[in-house]
Amino acid sequence: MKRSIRSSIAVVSAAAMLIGVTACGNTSSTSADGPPTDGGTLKYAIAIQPPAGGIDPVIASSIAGQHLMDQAYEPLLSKDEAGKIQPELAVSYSQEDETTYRFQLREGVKFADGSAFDADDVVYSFEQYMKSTSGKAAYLPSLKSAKKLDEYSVELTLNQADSTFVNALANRELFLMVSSDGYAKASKEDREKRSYGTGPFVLTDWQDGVSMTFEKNDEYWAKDQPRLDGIEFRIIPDDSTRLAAVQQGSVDAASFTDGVTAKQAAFGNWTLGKTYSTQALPIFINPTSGPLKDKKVRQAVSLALNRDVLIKTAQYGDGEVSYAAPAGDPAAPAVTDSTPNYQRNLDKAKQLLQEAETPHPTIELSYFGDTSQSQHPIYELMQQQLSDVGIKVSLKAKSTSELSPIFTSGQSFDGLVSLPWSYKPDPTFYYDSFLSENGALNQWKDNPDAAKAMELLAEAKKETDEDKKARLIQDLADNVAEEALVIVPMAVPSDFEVWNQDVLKDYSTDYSTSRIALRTAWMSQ
Amino acid sequence: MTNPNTGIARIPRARKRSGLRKAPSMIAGAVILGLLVCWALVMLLTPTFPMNETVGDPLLLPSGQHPLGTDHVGRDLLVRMGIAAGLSLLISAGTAVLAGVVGTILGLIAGYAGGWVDSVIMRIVDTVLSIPAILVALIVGVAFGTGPLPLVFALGIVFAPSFARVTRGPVLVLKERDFVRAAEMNGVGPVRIALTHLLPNAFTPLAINFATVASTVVLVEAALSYLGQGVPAPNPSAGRMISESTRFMQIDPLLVILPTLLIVVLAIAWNLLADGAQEYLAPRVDVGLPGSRGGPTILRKSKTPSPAGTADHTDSTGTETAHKPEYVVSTGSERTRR
Repeated sequence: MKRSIRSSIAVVSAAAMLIGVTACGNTSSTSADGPPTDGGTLKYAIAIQPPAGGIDPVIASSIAGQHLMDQAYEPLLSKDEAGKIQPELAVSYSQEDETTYRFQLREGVKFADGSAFDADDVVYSFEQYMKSTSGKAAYLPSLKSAKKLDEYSVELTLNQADSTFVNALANRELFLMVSSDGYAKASKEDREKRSYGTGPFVLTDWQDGVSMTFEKNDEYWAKDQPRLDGIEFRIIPDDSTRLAAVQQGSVDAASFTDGVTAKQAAFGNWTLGKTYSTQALPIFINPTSGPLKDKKVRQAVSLALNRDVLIKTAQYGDGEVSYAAPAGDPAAPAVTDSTPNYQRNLDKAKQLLQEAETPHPTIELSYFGDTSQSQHPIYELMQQQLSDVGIKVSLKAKSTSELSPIFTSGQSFDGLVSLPWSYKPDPTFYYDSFLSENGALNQWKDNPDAAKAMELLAEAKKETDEDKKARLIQDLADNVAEEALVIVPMAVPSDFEVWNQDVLKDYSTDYSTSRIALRTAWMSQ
Repeated sequence: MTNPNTGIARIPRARKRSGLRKAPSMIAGAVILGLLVCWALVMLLTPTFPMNETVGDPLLLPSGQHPLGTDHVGRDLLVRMGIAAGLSLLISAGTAVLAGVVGTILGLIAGYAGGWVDSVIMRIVDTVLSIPAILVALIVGVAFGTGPLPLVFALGIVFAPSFARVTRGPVLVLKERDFVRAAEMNGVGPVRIALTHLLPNAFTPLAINFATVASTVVLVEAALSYLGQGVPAPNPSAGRMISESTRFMQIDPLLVILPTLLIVVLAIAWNLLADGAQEYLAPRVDVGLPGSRGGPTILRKSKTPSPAGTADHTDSTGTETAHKPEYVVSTGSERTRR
């Protein structure tokens, strides 16, 4: 039976009701003030500014910069809430054979500097991505060439059949089109601090650590868009300070990563948008040494967890049991009651530990100590639950700089390490990182416990039939759970938006968390 | 004067005020600390609930079952606050002891040896004093890991210089005193002189500094725990409880207020102890004033008027003014004659 995301927080909501907070799951605000009007600059509070790479889409890969880049740049395709491919700068595409795709581009599109968007820009953009060191090329492992057919059509050729290809192109985080004129001539610094895209807004000012200001792109191709004159993203790192800015009315909209704080912001005229984005919390295992070498110990760890209690107590109900592919991703397989080792069973866990001849193992669990503080109680509760079967967990809160080499350059680690991740373009990419030959988190090379999973992954990556691929992904997820190759306590919502519905009209959250509705939203005058 | 029983020379002290009644601050500080210790011991030895386990719904308000409520993961706050108080006391006292031992040794050596030894030690002391305490603790935490023991070690290094300075000052003066010279001439070794003649006479400022340092360590430990570098999860610490609870501040302010109060009470208790120690132990004598003969110089109200015509005030022109005495200055020597 598929479990559904619980949207209420029992205790927090009860307390919130005492102070008159309404936590709404509205997907849109309705205009009650007549027809839309143009004008106004929206003040939007965000937590952090883009780090290294700025808003250069070719080299930047941080989540912090993503929705900012999406105001100024656009991809060829996108996906909607149901996972269906939607046209963007490409109005259609066709698959000529298993390795050849043709794209028909939208005509009449201009970059913000007035130059026309055409096939040359698409070819140029893909060439830049293939040369880039940002790691985005890893999502197009099979791309062989990009060729201009005529002014508005492009042909992309692969080395081999690749079922992830179109999904990767349709992800707003990855392959945004840049100008072969403006971007090509710009310096590295300009590419990071200024925009050269076709999007509805243009980055015009960036005060480091203070604000980023986007102004309306007068050349934007969509009629009557954008309605806003501009957006000022105010950088307020501290959650409590951002909450105070919301409550004082000094901003018109804000985003949070912590649901508890976001729900406090949904007060009076403030609306909390529907949360689409979820983040799985996979805990990766080093099976090359220590008690985790033994599958029985790993299975005991998974069996000792009470995932429902973790969700209810540590996340106040805001979460869902999940595989490594986060629940909430339309392409993610569904956890069921028959998912191996996901139902808490203390007797079985203890028996496995006895059979493994390590009845009281000590395991180290590292996690990000300087970020995602709302997730820390999960690990503390896990420690409690595992102690019920005699597993002693040593919690190690580490800094991002200590942990990032693990997933960027494959540095080894001890015991368990929690590395949360958000949506990836294709479900196979979740398993790539720890099962494929070049995966940065792959500690399973030559390990017979992971052989079957690796076979299923390779098969799923080649399979182009969507239904067959979905079944392969399900089998892969179940095998990973059976062999306990990764421990996943849950998936949690990762992006919360609130806005003053008396000020910002016709706005709604979107599946890709790109704030794309800002191009159609308008401000009450 | 020399104690006839031990032969140890001591600076003449003021007559002690009778009992601790005259040091209310010290009593208050000791009582508060004692109560906190009792709370911690009760919670540790006979807790109503386990310290780190979820025992109820999160964010419960105070009730009969949970007198201080529960935290954001449903752990009992009465137990956790008690343990946090005990840990903070241990860390602050432990740090003060370690810093006191190390710093006192350095101060004794520097003050007694003098010369280049004194210079070298004091330059090291000055250098360490210039480094922010939190920075040193963070560096040690990275090198040796987080937890109470590395924290005590790190902060002990940071605060040892203050003890060194406090010890060195009196030692510089005392080593020139006759009783020290006499001991040297009698062949008493420098270590014995330092420990038996110099150290006891520097005890008072050391005791005061102990409590002052402990008070500061309470705040530093709370700050480090707030930053995630102090007492590690899931063990309770007031600083980290504040850090974890900030996002619930508007929902359940007690989660922030209670640990904040705990830090304040701990710091105040140590400060009261320091103030009280100063009241109780500090001698009311200025050794350098002539005529004091080692006794107190006390101003007391005169009960009898001075004889008429007796001037006890002469203005700058030398004119004797009419006497309206309100106070008589008496010296210790007069008292000892009685």
